[in-house]
Amino acid sequence: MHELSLIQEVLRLVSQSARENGLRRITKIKLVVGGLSGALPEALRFSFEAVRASGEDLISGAELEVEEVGARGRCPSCSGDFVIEPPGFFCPECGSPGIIITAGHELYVDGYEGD
Amino acid sequence: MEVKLVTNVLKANDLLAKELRSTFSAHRLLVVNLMSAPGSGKTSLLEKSLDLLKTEVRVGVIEGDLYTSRDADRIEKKGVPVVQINTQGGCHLDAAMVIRAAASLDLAGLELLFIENVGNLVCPSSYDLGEDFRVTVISTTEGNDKPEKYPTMFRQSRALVINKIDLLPFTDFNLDEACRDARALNPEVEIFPLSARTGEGLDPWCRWVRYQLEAKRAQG
Repeated sequence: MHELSLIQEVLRLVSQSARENGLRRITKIKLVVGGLSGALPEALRFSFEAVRASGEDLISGAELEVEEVGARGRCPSCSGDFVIEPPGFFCPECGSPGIIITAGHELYVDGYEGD
Repeated sequence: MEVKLVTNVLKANDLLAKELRSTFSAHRLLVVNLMSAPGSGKTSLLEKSLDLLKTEVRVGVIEGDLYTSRDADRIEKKGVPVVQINTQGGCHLDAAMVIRAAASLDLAGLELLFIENVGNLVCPSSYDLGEDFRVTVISTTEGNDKPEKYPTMFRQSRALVINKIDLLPFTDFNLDEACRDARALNPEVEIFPLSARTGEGLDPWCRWVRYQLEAKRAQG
């Protein structure tokens, strides 16, 4: 995917908020990444290291915490709630293909810490 | 100090897509985001579809490509308004690029706008371009395992075009299996097997596009 541009956007969002809050240093950034988001945690960490190294003082000491969220689905036919294991986008209980994805598309900045 | 943000990383794109969607609706324009792997025949499909659609519908095209204007040059020959976006190596179109491209089209004079995305079955699926719906194109020479391999793209598409059916006898492509796999991911998907080269199967596809246009108009 395009993890480098995603990380640049994460740092833009966090830096803007940190400046508004009068912080001088960001120590930790928490990112939530779903298994169906298309973004790979390992590539995000790699991109983060690269951008941080060439970044300004505000972010140079920050660490990235990635919370991975597994894909889950719900079946409208039998009301089953289950883990989705791509490429199997069907209900493991009744086999119905019309499942509703309840988790896995997450790609958001949960928050950050700084002083 | 701990700060809660809970902000979508793609929020900036989503906001611009929302803006695009309201601009498109203000012009009562149906917008189709066309996605596929490189070489599936998106541009050929558009060329042939324009031949059938342009006499009845005012169509425009936004072409996405990494560096060249080859696709836009081909569409221009069909005599419809076209704008080329070059992503300079970028793997997808985003809403900001489409806003800039749309500014050089006379949207008020159009009823239907095709956006041909960059050839890629992964990244374009994350970027909302303000479209009404997405259409994925695969071709028989790619093999019929694409729906299973790229589920997100197929789940998000209202229609699936299976191109190059004229080459079916020369490939191991299993049409029934491809349709079954696509419907397992997306039970509502409309599937159009066709050949942009010979024209076989183009009529049902173009009729469906016109029907979508009517349905959008009826919604007001």
